[in-house]
Amino acid sequence: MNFSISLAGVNIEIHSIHAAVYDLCRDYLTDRSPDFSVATTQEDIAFERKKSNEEAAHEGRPAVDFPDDYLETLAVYRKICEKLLPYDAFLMHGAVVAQNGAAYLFTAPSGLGKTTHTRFWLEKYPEAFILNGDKPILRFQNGKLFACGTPWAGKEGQNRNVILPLRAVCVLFRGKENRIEPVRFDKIFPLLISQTYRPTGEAEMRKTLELIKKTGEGVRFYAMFCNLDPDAARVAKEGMDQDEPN
Amino acid sequence: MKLRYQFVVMDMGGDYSAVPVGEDAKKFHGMLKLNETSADILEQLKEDTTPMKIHLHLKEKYPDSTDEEIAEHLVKFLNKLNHEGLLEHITDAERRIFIL
Repeated sequence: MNFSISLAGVNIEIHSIHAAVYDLCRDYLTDRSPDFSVATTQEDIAFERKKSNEEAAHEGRPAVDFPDDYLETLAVYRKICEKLLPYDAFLMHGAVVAQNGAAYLFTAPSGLGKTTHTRFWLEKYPEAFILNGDKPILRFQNGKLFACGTPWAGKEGQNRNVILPLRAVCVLFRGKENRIEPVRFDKIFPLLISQTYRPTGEAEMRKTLELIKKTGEGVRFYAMFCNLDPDAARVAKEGMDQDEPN
Repeated sequence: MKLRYQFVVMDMGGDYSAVPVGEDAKKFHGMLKLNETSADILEQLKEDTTPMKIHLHLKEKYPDSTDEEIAEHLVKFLNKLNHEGLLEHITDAERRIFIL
């Protein structure tokens, strides 16, 4: 299938084998002429299967036999992420919550409660929504960093096709009490690197590191220690908003 | 000895990050956070070299440091790299600097 989507303000033509890719991208379709195109092959799908099995082995869990059409969606996103780098855009794993025109990125190793924490936000603040629950694109434009919705959004698939300025990045840790504190970039960049999509090539990796470094110049970082109390949402939001420059 | 993988090393504003690249490097899932001296050592290890050659390079670059200070830092860092499985082409003589 051939179709085009607009992602992070970039128009991308996709040539896919399976309809599942089109179905996933339905909310992001565009008629505009593409800035670049990606095409998948059966080899790309086999590569995703191999990678998925390797990751399962690395994490000590049984391999899952994913269907080809799902694996193709991963292959397409991998190709897109590699080609988005020249547009100053990169994938950082995490959940982005949007509220009142600003985006907050919560990142943490898998299983540390991103989904639970963002659910508390939705319960506490009815106007909030999940821009992307797992694999948002971050893009620099005119010196500002934006969080961009994408249809690739993890198990829950929560996403919305909007682009909003990123106000803060918050790393979640388990804690006995809910508290949040600012963190310096030099303390946090290893974790940011570990949460960012790593391209295979040297030039692409260099560009990715440059973009991560640039986040340290314009975004504030926080460490949030939280328990399973829904009040964690209020503590996080108030902590991140009180430092907002007027 | 030399690095098993190709690394991209970048100054992140005082501290350095080193991330392996290439398909083979994905076996190493982590990244390294380094100070300037360790980043320099990593650069030296991109080509086959010896601890002695690296020591001499560091001595030239940091003339105010004593041999003992350089050796201590170098051995400690090489041990860390070896522990992470990031070194290859280690000769029997070089292996002696690693703590078993």
